[in-house]
Amino acid sequence: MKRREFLQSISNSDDRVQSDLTPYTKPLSIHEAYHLLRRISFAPTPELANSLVGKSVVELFDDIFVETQALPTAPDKKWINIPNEDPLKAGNPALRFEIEAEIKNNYYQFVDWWINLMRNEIKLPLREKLVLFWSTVWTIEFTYDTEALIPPGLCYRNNQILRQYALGNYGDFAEAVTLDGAMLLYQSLFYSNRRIANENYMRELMELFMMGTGDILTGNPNYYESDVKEGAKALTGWRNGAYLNEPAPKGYFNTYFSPHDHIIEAKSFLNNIIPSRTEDQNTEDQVRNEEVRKIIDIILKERKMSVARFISDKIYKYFVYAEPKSASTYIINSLAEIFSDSDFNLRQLFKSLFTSSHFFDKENIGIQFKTPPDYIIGFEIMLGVKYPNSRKAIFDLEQELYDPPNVGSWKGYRTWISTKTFPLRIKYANEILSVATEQNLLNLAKKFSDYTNLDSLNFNLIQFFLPDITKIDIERQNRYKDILANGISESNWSQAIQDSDPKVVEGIRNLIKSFILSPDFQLC
Amino acid sequence: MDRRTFVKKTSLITAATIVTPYILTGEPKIKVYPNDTINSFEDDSIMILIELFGGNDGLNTIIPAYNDLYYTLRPNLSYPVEFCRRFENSDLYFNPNLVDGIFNGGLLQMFAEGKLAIIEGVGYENPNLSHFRSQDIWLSGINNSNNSVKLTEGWLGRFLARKLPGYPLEIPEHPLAIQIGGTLSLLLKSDVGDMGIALTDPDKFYELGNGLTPNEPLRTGISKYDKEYNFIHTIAKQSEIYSKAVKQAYDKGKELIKVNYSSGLSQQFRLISTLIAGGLKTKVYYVSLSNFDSHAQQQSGYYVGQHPTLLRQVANAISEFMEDAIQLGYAERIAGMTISEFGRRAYDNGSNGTDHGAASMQFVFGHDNYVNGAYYREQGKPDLSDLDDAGNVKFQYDYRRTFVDFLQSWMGATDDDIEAVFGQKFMPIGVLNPRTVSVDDSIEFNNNLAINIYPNPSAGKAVAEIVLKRSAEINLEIYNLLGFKVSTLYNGFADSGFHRFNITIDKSNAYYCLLTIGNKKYSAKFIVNK
Repeated sequence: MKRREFLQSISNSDDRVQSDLTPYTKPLSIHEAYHLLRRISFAPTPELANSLVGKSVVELFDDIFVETQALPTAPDKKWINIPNEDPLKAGNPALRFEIEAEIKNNYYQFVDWWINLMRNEIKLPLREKLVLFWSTVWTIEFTYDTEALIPPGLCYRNNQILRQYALGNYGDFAEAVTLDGAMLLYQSLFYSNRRIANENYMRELMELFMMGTGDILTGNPNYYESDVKEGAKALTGWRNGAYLNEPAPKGYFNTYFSPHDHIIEAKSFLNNIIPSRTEDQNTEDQVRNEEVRKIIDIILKERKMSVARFISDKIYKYFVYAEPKSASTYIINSLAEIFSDSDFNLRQLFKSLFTSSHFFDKENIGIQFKTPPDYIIGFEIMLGVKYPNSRKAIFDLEQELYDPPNVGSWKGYRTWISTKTFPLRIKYANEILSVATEQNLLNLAKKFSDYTNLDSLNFNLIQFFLPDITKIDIERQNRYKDILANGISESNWSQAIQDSDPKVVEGIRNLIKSFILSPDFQLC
Repeated sequence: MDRRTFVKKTSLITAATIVTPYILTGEPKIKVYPNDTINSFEDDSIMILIELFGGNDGLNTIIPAYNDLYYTLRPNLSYPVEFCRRFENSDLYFNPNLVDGIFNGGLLQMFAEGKLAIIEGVGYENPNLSHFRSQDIWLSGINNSNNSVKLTEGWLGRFLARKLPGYPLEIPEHPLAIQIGGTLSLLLKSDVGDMGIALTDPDKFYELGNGLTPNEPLRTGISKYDKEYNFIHTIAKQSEIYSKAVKQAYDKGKELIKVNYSSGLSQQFRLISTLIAGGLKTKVYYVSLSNFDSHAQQQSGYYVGQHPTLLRQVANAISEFMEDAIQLGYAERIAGMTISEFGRRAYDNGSNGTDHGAASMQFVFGHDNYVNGAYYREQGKPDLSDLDDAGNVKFQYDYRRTFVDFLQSWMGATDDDIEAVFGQKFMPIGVLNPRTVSVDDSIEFNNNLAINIYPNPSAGKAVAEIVLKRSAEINLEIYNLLGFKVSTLYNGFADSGFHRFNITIDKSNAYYCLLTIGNKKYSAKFIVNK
């Protein structure tokens, strides 16, 4: 193989665009309503999907994502406002382990609180899928090196920031997370002082959170090592009262400015000069606006299209199709234009994507891997049951919420399915199904119109549980029908289901069991 | 192997797979065939990769304690010379956490026994300081920092995919590669699918593995949906087949293993050893250890903290595994290496840590018959007075050269394979000797030896003999174990046939003789006792 052919073989972006960002104004079919809900929430319910049918997604958008939606109330727990002692400063190992055990317990309570919010999203407005997405962008690792733990009170605050800015302005979002206590600890910014500017956060802010090392389209480098070093100086001086009995001038868990830890000399960042400041000018508000926010604004100004493309690409891969090579350059560029023209308004960006004809393109339905929360919580939602081990299941499937494998997040796409996680996925789905009572299953069946008609119910259940009915030929539908019928004849079906015949329930259960084993049950 | 032999062998395999496949119930299409019918995988060599993710601090692993500059650059994070563990009277110093309190005397003892090689200055041109891009560069085997080029296949994935032309309709009985963990690394990914499996617990795998094969057949279309559907379908099938194969080997092997493994990384090696001892025919095992990204709190004492803890895990795991391999009699079959996406900044960062660096060092381990246990470096390296613009150590050896050692010597890769995997040819380092002779060697082997040196040991005068199958440009050199060239015996054109070269050495020590022909290297170890 020639070198050129070889390089071509590793970069063959599939750019056969059959649809674009033109608003999709047709009334939604049930198939499209399911598709929409599988992507922008965890799973559809028949009720919610039916309520969208016949309407245009363009009109629905403002009801789906409501601008003024209030933040959910915090769990009623002491750890929300009062931190633990720093376990690394505990006098002896026994005490340290005791504190750590309590912190871990509180962390689980935090995750369970969040999982419950996801599970309860079966009505409009929606938001938690966006929060989950942002948690994979602005990563926080609860267990962040071999020894330390992020206080759960900070995980909670970080989580609310993701919610608050999920559809906001990206510059505001970046500023909020930069000074967020969890991030300060996780990315070593709180080690920075007047002598030493720790590079860790500054690098990841540019590389992972805003624009990538180089432009994803042109490949041009977005920054050099000197920008990492200089930018890091502008971000010095921030602290957080994250542990009991430690300084917390603005209250526990609130970030504060420590003037004598801030480097006041001038910084040269992406060819912009942030001027030096006197000690008089070295105040919290001034440094926040003139340096922290300034760094973000310089990035947004100097690398406008790089940021826009980088974020559009992440959103495209999370909500449309994650395969790295076939993401459409054309669509991502069009999204990026809209995003940068709107001064980085995320609501505009999400609206353009979710209401586009590309989003509803037949080619894009049923091709995305369910993430562990999609898979576990989504199945609970579809069955209308609550599974008591959701957190453990999601973690076992390799998405430990607020604890990704590293700052680069979960790799996503096909890595969700391996010979380790696939057998576990089958196991957990069967366990969730076993939580469903006979009544649950009958209730579900009766939510579909014409449930007294065997063919009709079979079709509706396939369409509901598997992501693309159009890919399931008539022979496969008939195999499913035999399982559902469970020996009952078509003519007797109506009476049997109205009588709640146990054979009917068994048939429904067996049908869902065979869906679970089907490869497309992993897709959405 | 020349082309004709290759074609002949390939057709033999095809014949074998047609004659012997058995058919799984419910899945009429899939064929399963024995691993040892795969071309060039007839031998039982096994390759181990240990990824040290986050960027291992090479300068605090093999420590330049002879160099004052090291102490100047690292006022907060250096190891005083009395804490370093020195190899004999040399300038090779190990971090004490690789030695003190480590099983069997740790890596220093392994080096002394010739079972460990250290390659200094491994990296690539235009170093990328991003963990993720640099990791992708290491794992894909493609040095391309351009973000618009997506690296979606691993170099091993690409190589193994060449070995499985019928995949996924035909798959080997045992997984070709096993990654200990839950998700599969880029290293083992290929455009036709996953070339290895992810495994943590064989018992659980077995318990959950039954009945996973989908009732519906593979799809024949080429839409995105069909591609993803078939990917999952194949994982499902493999889960069922391999959960049984793995369990069988595991049950057999767990009665056999000899060493009481430590906690942490060692436990992953306990699993690997168990599977090897139990007869699993897997060619590649891959483990990963994270948290090497020590921007702060890299260590809080010479033996305490993040980096010391991680190094002890690595040293214990390798030492325990090696001992188990020797006792169980499979030591000659294994060769392993560490990889890490980069080293760390030459100077410390004042937060008791170090920032992202460039070139670093690499360990290669295995049986002393096949691993040329020595310290590989260019003269005067690492050079702390000649750092790059970012303050990082410069690279001496392209990272793919070690990969070529493993692919050629351990996995039977041909020149064509190397070019297909990396897009270009690379010279191996010469750290591994092959266990089996390949037909495309231009050298005649004598008792599996490319170079015959005798007497060995000698009192300083010996001869090296080689037999060339065809005339070639050859380069024959002597190195000591510390990586310094002692002499060049011959450099130039040589006719086919028998050649003899005189060796004269004036210092007692262990040496190796390195023969380079084209893009192949051969070596032989010898001892001088004066």
